[in-house]
Amino acid sequence: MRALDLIAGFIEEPERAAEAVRRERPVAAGLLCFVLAGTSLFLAAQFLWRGSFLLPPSPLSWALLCLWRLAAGFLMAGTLHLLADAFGGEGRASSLFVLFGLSELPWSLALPAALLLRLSPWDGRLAPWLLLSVVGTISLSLKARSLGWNYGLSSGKAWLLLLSPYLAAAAFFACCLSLAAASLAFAVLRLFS
Amino acid sequence: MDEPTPQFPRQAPAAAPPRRPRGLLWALTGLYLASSAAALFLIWRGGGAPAQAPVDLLRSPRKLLASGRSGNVGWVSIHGPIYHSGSGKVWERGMEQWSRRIRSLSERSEIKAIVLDIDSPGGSVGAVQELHGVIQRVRAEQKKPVVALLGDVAASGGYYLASACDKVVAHPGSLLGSIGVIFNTMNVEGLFAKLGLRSDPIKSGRLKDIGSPTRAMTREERELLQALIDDAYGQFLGAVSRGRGIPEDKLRPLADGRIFTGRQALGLGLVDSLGDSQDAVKMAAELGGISGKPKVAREGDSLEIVLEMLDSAVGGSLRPEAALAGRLQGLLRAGLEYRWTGL
Repeated sequence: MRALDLIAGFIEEPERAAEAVRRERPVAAGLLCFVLAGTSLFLAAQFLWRGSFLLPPSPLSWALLCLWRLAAGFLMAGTLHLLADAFGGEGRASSLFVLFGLSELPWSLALPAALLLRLSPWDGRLAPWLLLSVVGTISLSLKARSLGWNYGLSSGKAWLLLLSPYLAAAAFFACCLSLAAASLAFAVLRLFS
Repeated sequence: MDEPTPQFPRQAPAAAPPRRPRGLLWALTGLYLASSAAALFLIWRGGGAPAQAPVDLLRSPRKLLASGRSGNVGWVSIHGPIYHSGSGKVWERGMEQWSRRIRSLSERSEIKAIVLDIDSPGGSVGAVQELHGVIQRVRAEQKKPVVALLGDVAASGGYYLASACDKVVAHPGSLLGSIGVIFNTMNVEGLFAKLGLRSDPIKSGRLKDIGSPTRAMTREERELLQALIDDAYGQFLGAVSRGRGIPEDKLRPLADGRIFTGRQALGLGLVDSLGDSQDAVKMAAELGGISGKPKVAREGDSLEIVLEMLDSAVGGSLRPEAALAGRLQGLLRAGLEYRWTGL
């Protein structure tokens, strides 16, 4: 399956494209999409944050960003595949990985949006975060739909599945924070008792 | 009679399904490619300057179209005593490594000027003169200006190097000067006597063990060594006189080994201006003909820097006795030195 056909299909008829991905699992196309999205994000970051010390304009930092996004995609696909399997879904992790790659394509819009933002009068401190939130939400919703298409899950289940690792991390963090607060309160009480 | 075979009309081949127009796809692809090309161009024109440069260029068509790409200012830090490194390992600190870094920076076309950040009490005559030669070559052959920035201390050999540069910038409180030569020697005869030890060399000539720490120096030996010191001192004085454009007879009263602050040195013509690292970079950029804000290219490959970090972090902790031995060796080092022993 040609990568361009796949991307075109995903843009025009995402459900049919997802079906084709389930059948053929074009992993190379998925990898390409991750790299395209990572490149766009890298270039956008040069304009969104002045003095972007996190992402200096060097080939090494570009490569590291793409690698990080690939690794994150791989890890997410693997983890969600296990969870989906536990939820009774039937699908393959490799096709989920490809669909996640295709879901990263909205990040390609981050670069032209960043350039336009810098030229516009709405350029401010919050503007970059707003832009990234909008693009990130589009990408996330495509990921949720991908989960649903790949495993035959309903929209609600797909969203729950997608957010579950983040919810688990947030719950863990909240637990730790509560424990810390409780022990601090206890220590203060002991001081006065 | 046979019935004619019915002729069935040939079926036309099935028409290929019509290709759906992919206007949206091509539009998005074109947008992506065009913005990537524009972004890469702006980052390139920014000359690797701080990341705000591409943003500034985006908003200023005049700057964007201005000819001439910003050059870079190379930066080499010469910190600590100046000696041969001994091992030649790329991540170690020593004359060889500093020479290599100055040369490699000067050979890069985008480097238009170099700042030498000197914070050194000096070192061995050979090592200092080798570095001095490298600086002179960069100025003469590569035609690149070199600006010395004096840190806490740029005494003796450290100042020897600074005097070879086009300009010298010092902090008002920098300690510099100590123009002179020293030959460190020690007489441990008394200690040996306490330990019941005695040195008994067999020599081919009577002056073979000149400077030996195991006995007192003879008058003849002292005069001989003094002549060596005077000759090396003459070389030092001549180098500073040529470098700073101060006649030797005017320089000599200042070159009795005394040290000066940066502010005192300014009045005596030993430095060109008082300032900090930003001033040195700005001066280097002006001398190098760099327009706009220059990027500072520090010396060393990323790999060298990583190896240096590993060596100092791991090697030092694993071999504390080696570090101690190194320090002691520095104190007992033989030979002529352009070094201020106040540190």
